[in-house]
Amino acid sequence: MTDVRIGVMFPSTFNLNADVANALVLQRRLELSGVETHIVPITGESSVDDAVVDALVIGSPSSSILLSPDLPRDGIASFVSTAFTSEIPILAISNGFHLLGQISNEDGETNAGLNLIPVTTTFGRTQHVTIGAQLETQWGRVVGVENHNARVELSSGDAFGRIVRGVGNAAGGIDGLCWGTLWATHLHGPVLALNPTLADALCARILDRRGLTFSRGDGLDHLDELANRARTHLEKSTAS
Amino acid sequence: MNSLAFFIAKTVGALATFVASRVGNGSVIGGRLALVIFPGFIRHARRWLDFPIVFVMGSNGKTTTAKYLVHLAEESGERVLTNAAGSNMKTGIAALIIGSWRRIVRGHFSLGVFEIDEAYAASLGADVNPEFAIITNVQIDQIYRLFEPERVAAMFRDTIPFVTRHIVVNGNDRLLVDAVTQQRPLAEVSFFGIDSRSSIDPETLGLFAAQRFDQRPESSVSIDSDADGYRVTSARERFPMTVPTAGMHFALNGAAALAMARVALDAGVAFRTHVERLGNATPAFGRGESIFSGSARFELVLFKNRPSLQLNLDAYQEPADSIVLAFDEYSQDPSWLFAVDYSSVPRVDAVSGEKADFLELALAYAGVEVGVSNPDIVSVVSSLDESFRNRPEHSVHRLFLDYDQMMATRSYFGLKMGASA
Repeated sequence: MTDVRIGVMFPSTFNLNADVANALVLQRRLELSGVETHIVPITGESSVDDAVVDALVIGSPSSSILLSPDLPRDGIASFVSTAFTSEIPILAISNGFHLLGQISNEDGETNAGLNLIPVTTTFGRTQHVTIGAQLETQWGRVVGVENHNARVELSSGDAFGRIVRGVGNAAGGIDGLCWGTLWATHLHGPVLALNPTLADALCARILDRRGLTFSRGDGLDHLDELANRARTHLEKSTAS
Repeated sequence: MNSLAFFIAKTVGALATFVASRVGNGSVIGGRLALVIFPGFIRHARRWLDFPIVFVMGSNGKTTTAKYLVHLAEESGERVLTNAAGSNMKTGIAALIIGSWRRIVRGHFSLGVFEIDEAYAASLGADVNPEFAIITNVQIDQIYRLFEPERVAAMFRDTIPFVTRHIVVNGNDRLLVDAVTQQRPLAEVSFFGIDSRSSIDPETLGLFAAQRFDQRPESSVSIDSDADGYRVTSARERFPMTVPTAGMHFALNGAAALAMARVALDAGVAFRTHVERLGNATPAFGRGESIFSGSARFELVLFKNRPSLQLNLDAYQEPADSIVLAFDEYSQDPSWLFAVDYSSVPRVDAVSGEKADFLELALAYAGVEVGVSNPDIVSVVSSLDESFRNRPEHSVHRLFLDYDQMMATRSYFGLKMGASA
């Protein structure tokens, strides 16, 4: 029987705004579609065996954790590099996204970023909060909540989405990055919970890598109906 | 000139409050207007607030800690000026001053206990220079407004220099301990927390940065628990402790209040007496208060953010005939609902509030069965009330409510803001 493992990077600390739950969304959707799925925490104590995953979710830590000299960057970089090489689908949210590239702040370039992706993030004073941020993406309209003080510049790769409402990367009218097997965005929500089409696309990607086809289970219709009601509610929000 | 501006601001504020009270709930409009007319209103008023003031601050537990402290103070003979729960921003403090002005100038009050919102703490600290402060904790809360817990810790750190006599701080909270250490306050500092010999894991307290509570010098107040209940220790004396509402987080609120009572109240009252009196306190409204309707008992449990919902869900383990969760529009970013562990909840009979859809979605992904979804909490509660109140057997209905939903529910049962059930 197929057994899928969803890795979650530092689930207790990379979870400032509940982005670890994107892994729960994947698990639930796959299980309702007949695929046994396990969530595997990836931490500093993880063994090599734990590193065998079919997907990786990188949530968003607070700034102090992102910039902390105590963050085990070498281990994270090694793991994520292996994931890229193995073409493992990766979903990274906000500071989890920023961590993977270069990071600067008001004082200049820092050593906080892993330099694994063609992205430079600069943190500024202005916090961008948009309840009901909206993007146009290859998966249709994607809705969520953004909350960051970053300006993100891409030196290659494609945008995750084009801004309809919100700030996104605060550069170029786009949000996030699609690069190799990485999908990165600033949207919380969690983004997969609120956007079933996106979630299904990622489920399909995960199974495709294993030579399998994602076939939606009946139980997903109810989840999607709830998600669509929640999305509509957020889309009507004027708060930013 | 300031005296004239103050007089005008106070007069206009009082008039606005009077008019608003006749047409609806305008509890802070007077304060808002007063501050518009005279931004230095609170600072100017301080000269008449000729009594010690305690700021009660923190991500969670402010209202309960303030209520416990007010109870202990009044039991000790103090006449306390205190703000109603929720009116903890500058406008609320200004409104409190306006509404209590006659009694203030007549010297009625001997102590102030002010619950203070973190975003306004430093500004109010500069205006008031409180003699005392309690800082309960730093947790993940309202990040759409406060952004990150570290920034909240910085807000408290920036308030510390304005406290003149004594600060009581949660010793299990690394961000707060660091803030106090970095700031080197002129005021004395003491700590409360979970006794480090206790088996209770500080990581279960909902703190953003938890640490074990080192046994501080004799000025500390620490608690532990066993099968018989809570115990509180101070100056090597240990007593059984009861608090009005179930849950370790409420016990810690009690510890914070006791720690402040030790230093701010009549030194002639023994610590043991404060501990005994704490057991007679009533819960703050919405914090585990019970409302009886015929044979039905409605437990109102307020939640305001991720840690408070988690701690309250975990604290209420007794079976209930109905479980309701309600989430309102005021909570702008609903993402955090997905970070809560719902495994202690067997089922949810109804989700309600304007953002009921988000609750239902989070519960669905958590595998929790949901009965009905009805955004109108009064409709949900009245339906339960009508169904159960006349039954011969007793029933318990547990309502986990966001703030506006709780106010609407209390209003349905005829309870005004601040009044106890």
